Amino acid sequence: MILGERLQSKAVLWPFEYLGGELIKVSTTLSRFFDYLSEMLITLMTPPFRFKEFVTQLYLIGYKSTPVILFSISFAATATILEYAFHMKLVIQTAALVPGFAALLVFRELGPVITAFLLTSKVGAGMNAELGTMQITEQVDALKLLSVDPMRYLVVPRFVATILSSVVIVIFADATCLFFEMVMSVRHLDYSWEGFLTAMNQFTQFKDFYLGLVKAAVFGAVIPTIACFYGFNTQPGAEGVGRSTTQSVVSNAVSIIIMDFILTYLFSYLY
Amino acid sequence: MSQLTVSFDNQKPLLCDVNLKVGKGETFVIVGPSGAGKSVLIKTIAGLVRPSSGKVLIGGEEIHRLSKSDQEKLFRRMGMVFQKNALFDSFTVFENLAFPLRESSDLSDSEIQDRVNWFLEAVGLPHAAQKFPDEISGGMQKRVGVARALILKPEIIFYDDPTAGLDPITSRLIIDLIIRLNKEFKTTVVSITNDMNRAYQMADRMGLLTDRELIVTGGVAETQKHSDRRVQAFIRGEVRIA
Repeated sequence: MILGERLQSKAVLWPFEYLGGELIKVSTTLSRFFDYLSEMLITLMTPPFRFKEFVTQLYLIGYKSTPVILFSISFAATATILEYAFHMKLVIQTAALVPGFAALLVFRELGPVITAFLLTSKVGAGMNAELGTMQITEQVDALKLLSVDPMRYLVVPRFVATILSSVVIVIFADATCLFFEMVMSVRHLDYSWEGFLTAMNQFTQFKDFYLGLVKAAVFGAVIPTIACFYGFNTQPGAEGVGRSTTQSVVSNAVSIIIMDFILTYLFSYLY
Repeated sequence: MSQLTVSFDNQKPLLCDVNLKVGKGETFVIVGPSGAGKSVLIKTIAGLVRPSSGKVLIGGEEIHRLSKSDQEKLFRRMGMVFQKNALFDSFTVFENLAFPLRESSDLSDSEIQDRVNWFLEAVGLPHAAQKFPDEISGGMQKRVGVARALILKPEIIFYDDPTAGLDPITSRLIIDLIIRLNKEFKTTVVSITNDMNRAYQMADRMGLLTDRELIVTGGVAETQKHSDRRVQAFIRGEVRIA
C-alpha cells in the first residue's frame, strides 16, 4: 500500500478507533463502578458496623468542615440577596418579595448545593487522596491480608458519616444564610427583623426545608461514593494521585449538578 | 498453583501457565529481573490479584473462588511483608503491630501489649514504639513490616522483596531476622527478590521468573549448576533477560 493510501485509510479509521477506545474505557469504568457500588451497599447492610471509625469520620467530616462551609456560604447568601434586591427593584420597582424568594432559594438550592460543592472540595478531595495514597503504598492490600475488609473499614464509615454530616451542616448553613440575609435586608433594604421573618413565612413552607435536607443526604451519599471509587483506582505515582483527585472532584461536581436537576424535577410534583 | 496466567486489561499476559508447589514449612524464593512480574505473582498467590486462568490452592482451598468471609478466614493464616512496607502511616509503630491483634484475635489489652513488646524486642525496635512510620528509617520500617506480618503467628508468609532499597548490611540483618523468626514460628515462606546473595541465604528451593514463565531450579547448589542458560545468565548478571 502506498503512503498516501495508508494515511487516507488511517484518517478514515482514526475517529472510529478513538471513539471505540473511549467507549471501551467508559464502559469498563462504569462496570467497575457498579461492582464497587453493589459491594458497598451490601457491606453497608450487613454487620458488623465500624462505629469507632464512623465517629472518627464524623469528627473529621462534620465538625472540621462546618466552620469553613458556614464562613463561605454566608458570603454566597449576602451576594444572593443583594442580586435579588437589585433586579427586583429594577424590574418590578419593589424589594417586597426579596426575603421570600431569598429564603426559598436558600432552602431549596443554596444551602444543599453550595454545601455539597464545598464538601466535595474539602472532604471528597481529601478522602480520594488518602485512599489513593493507601492504594498505591499497598496499605489497602495490607488491610485485606489482615482480614480487614477495606470496604467496611474505609468506605462505609465515610459514606454514613458524610450523609449525616451533610444533613447537619445544611441545617446550620440554612440558618447562617437566613441570618446574613436578614442582616442585609435590615441594613440595606429597609426591612425590620420581624418584617423579614413575616415575608419569609408567607413564601416558604416546612416542605422546602426538609426537601432541601433530602437533597443534602443524597449529595452526602454521592461525594464519598465517587471519591472512594477513584481513590481505590488510583494509579501509582504523584501524577496518579493528582489525576485521581481531579477526576474525583470533577465527577462529584458533575454528579451533584445532575442529581440536583433530577431531585428538583421530582420534587416539583410534591409542591 | 497450576497453570496460572495473569494479564491486565486484555493485554499480553504478564505470567503464562506458571506452576509451583511449595511444601509445608518450606522456604521458596523466586528470583528474577525487575519487571518480570514477581510482585504480581506473589500477590496472585496471596489472593490479592485475580488470575485470568489457573488456580491457587492453599491448604486444599482455592483462594480465588472462596467467598469473601472464607477468604478472610484464610487470610488469617497468612502474613505478608510488602515491598513498600505498607505500614499504616496514621498509626504509630506500636499501633501498627497492635492493629492485627485487635482485629483478628481475642487477646486482652494487656496481652496485646505484651505480644507487641515481645515482637518489638525481637526486631530490635523497642525504642521506636511511639514513633510514626515516616519518623523511622527504611530498614526500621522493614523490620516493623516483618513484625506485623508475623504477629498473628501465620502458617504461611509472603515476602515481597524484603530487602528492596536497603544497603547490603541492613539487607543481611533483615534476612537473618526473617530466617530466625521463621524457624521460631515454623512458617511456610514464599519470598521474592532480585538479589541472588539474599536468595541463597534464605532459600530451601528457588525459581527464576523470566519470559513470563517460572523455572523451578531446585536448591541452592542445583540452581548454581542449572543447565538453563537464562538461569546462568541471571546468576552471573551477564545479560538483561526481560
